[in-house]
Amino acid sequence: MSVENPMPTSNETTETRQLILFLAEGEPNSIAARRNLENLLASAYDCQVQVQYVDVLEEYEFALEHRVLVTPTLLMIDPLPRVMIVGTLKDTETVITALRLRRSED
Amino acid sequence: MASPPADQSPHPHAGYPPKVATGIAGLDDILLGGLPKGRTSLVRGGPGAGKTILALEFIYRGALEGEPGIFVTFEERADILRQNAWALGWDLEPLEQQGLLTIIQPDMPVRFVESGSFDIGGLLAILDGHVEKLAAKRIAVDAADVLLRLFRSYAQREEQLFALHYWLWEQSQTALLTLKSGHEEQASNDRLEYLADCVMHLDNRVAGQIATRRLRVIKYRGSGFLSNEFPCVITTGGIALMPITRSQLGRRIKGKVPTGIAKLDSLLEGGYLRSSCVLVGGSTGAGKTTIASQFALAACKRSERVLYVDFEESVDSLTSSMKSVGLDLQSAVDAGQLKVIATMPESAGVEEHLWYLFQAIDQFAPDHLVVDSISACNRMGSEEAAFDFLVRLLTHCRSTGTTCIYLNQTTPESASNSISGVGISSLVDALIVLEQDWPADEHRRRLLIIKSRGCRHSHAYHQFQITDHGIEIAETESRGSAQQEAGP
Repeated sequence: MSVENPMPTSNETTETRQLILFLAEGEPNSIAARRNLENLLASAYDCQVQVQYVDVLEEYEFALEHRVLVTPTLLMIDPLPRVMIVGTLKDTETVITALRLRRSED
Repeated sequence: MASPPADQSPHPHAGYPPKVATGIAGLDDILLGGLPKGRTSLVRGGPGAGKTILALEFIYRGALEGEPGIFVTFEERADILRQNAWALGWDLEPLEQQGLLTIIQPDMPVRFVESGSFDIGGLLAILDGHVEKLAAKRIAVDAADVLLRLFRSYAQREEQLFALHYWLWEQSQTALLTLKSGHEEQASNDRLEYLADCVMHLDNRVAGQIATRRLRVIKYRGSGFLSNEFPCVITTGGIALMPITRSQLGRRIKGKVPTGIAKLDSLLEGGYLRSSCVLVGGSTGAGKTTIASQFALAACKRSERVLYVDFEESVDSLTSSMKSVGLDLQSAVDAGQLKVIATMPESAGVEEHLWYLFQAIDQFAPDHLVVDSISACNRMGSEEAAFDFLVRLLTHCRSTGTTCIYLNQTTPESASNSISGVGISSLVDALIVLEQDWPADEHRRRLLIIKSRGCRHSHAYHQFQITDHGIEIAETESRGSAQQEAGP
């Protein structure tokens, strides 16, 4: 699958991406999503990426607040616009595109 | 030895399977006690069928009884629900503050990117948290089909329904799910009908321009249920269903009740039969309202109660026109002996009219009921609707021992005693016809008793006048007999 490199807007290049991964601890989909996200973030990008892991079973009100009805859900809360990605995050390129990230090597 | 579980339900079938009374008027009768305890039930229906209110009432009534419940809404906003509930006379907020009721409004994610498989784990976690917080026993999930739209394939939807159903079962929640009926959702809905222990269908049909909601129980695992379609009404108190068992034949009080007109009493061997139904027919101005009012006033003077249902005119117009013939209905109203309900037949469907009247009869407990006039009931939608209304009202009155006076307005064209306009003359116990004509300058009125069950009544025409103190029947019989004088 060919994915076009997103054109980063000037103010996004130096910003930090703030992500929250909502997981149902112990569920296979959630385990896969965490592993896929960690693999994805092993590469270098043109900005800082911060990830917060939230177990919905512990923090259900936080999940409700963020409209997280399905797990796993990855949210980018900053910079706006917010991005919601649901699923195991298995398509690395789809996720990178959705998060408006650019690999440093490219 | 363990004592059997406390059974608050008056139903003989309650006990197995264990049931939870919904508290919804009539529904527990239909379900022979209530919904299956700790199991999932399903309500399916089209838009406007009343699914949301039914589900909310289940949670609300539970909370009132001290059983905490959760209402999950995927369609209606929580604040709108509170407003709608308020309009039905339910105040949810105190219950929410006491931790007896929680409304969860999960906002559906509007736009999202999909990558790999996912499940409703987030929702179940949210539900889990709230169930624990409230120690909830009841859960209603309204418009569960909206949640399923997050999933593209049929297989995924089905899998998630299983997950939800399994979770509810594991939590021993008495659950009520609502789903829209529609071709798109049909497949997964069908699947849920197999899973659920109890399935009900609600619909909202229009017949003769009047909408009627109906409920039907499709299945109830391990339990009997009343399988007919039951009309239901959304009233100011919530949903109300009317199982026909409500109109069982009940006690009948024997004896005669004075008509309020001494001469008429003698013609009827003492008066109308108590707890019976008397049909009085006649054209406009023939004296139907007067004869009924005179009966009502006489009853009020004996400290009996009369409910006067007026489909023809307003309360003021009724009291003032009767005042002009010397009948002071207003003081009887003021004394609380007489209650007049003036309503337009077309203002509601049969079910709603019946519901309000049954409620009025139950609350006011009248000894006698007047309906002025039954011919106006056609405006409830159709002749069938009117017939249905009158028969069920009559049946209800018989069960409560209430005397019914039905006034029927005939048209001048119709033969005087062809009174079966709405087809109920065979069901009534007594039939009286009032006729009038205008030979020369005279307004001539006469009265004929066509039938009066169980009594040797007069078979002759009797002249009468409407004076400033009501109806006065002449002592002597009119010359012609009924047969000779029958219409042209």
